Amino acid sequence: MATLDEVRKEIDKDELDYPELALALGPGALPQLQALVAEDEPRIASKAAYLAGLISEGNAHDIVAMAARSRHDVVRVAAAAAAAKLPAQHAVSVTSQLLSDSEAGVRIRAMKSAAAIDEPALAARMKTMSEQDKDPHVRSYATGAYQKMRQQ
Amino acid sequence: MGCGERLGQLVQRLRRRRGARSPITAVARNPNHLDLFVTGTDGKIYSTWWDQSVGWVNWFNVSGGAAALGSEITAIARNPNHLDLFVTGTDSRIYSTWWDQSSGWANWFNVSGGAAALTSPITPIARNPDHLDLFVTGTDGRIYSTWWDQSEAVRVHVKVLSEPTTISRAQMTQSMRDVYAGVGIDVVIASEETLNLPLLNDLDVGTCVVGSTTAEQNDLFGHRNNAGANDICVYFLRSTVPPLNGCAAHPDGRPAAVITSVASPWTMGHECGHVLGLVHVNDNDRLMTGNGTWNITNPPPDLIQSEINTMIASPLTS
Ligand SMILES: [Zn+2]
Repeated sequence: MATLDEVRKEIDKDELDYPELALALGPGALPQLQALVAEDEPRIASKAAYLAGLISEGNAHDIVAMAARSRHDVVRVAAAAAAAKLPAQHAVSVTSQLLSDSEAGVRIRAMKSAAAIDEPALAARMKTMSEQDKDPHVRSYATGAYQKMRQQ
Repeated sequence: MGCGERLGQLVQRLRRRRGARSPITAVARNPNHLDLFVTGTDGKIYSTWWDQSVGWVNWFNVSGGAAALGSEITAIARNPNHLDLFVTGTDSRIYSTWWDQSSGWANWFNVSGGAAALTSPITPIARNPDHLDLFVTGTDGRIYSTWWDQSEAVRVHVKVLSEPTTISRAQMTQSMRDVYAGVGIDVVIASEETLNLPLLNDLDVGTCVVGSTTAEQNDLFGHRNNAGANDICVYFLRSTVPPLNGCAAHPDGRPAAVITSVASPWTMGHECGHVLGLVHVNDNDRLMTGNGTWNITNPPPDLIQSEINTMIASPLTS
């Protein structure tokens, strides 16, 4: 099993192949990924959270949920992207939380995941956001994404 | 005592003082501007400048440079927007730095392994704006020369969606310049532009593989204001999905790379290296390490001859 430093080294690259790494490390690396998200270093925590989402088994959803509460925007963006990879129930819960994020870019990324998850509760949230979100970019993106979801 | 005689004594006295102290070097890049350079009493290299519009500014230390007291700093303006400085450092090695209108002061670097006796002045001459010849008396008393020629350059257009948070954009640019200049490739920042594209600030880069791009990448890389077909556009954005430090995958005919807010000082040079045709190596002393440029062990990282050949053969260098 990979040690904490080995996992850190694997993800601290300029570009990395997540699907390959998820296969190579597997659920055995989840405790290390959890520790790396908890360390709260944005560059490492965002990568660890996304990789956990891709592994998707075990307590991966807890790790993504922890990243969704990070003080760093880039980590919450990674959590929003990773959410779509989780089993449906967890995917909906993390995405739903990030649709209410204080930062517009995080809400936009959460909407992209919501569109992929295809769940009525999320579609309803998108409709509301298209009308009420305080950011014009978010409203405009939500309008388009909601219409696409209805056509699916 | 005649007037001429007194003037002669004054000049003699000034010459003696000049000998005991550090000589001041002055250069006029254009008719309305002067730059001065001197080694201070604390052994640090100082500069100030005068401009028709603002007058004199305060002395400042040039890029952390130091030299033995009495060392002459030589300066040359190859063109009105550029200065090159030369000095023998406290370790007897020959150092240079430059100032460019577009990027400010660069870090000091040793010129081609050169060394000279302490306080030896280095004489530079620019036969044309793209060529420098240097002359110096070496530690063995023999006269040495070297030259620099701007034979290769890569033109980069900077597009900013988000400023980096860990390492500044200026430092990333400088780090790329340091590595590329070391192998004779000048990095020209041809333009800078701010892009307000919140939907692309956390960019979907898919698998980030050469020749395969996402709809979001295609959209972003359509923003090529000012850039020629053989110019590289570098986009600074907040993050990528999935999270990477940078990504050099780009559509055909639109050479480009993205750099995220958590990138290392070397990511920009690394990604542009990919755009110029370089691939990963398993060696943390080199710019193209696949193990992450945050883990580079001997800054500045190296480029080897075969990589330099690939870069120069790229249509993006000229
Ligand atoms: Zn790379």
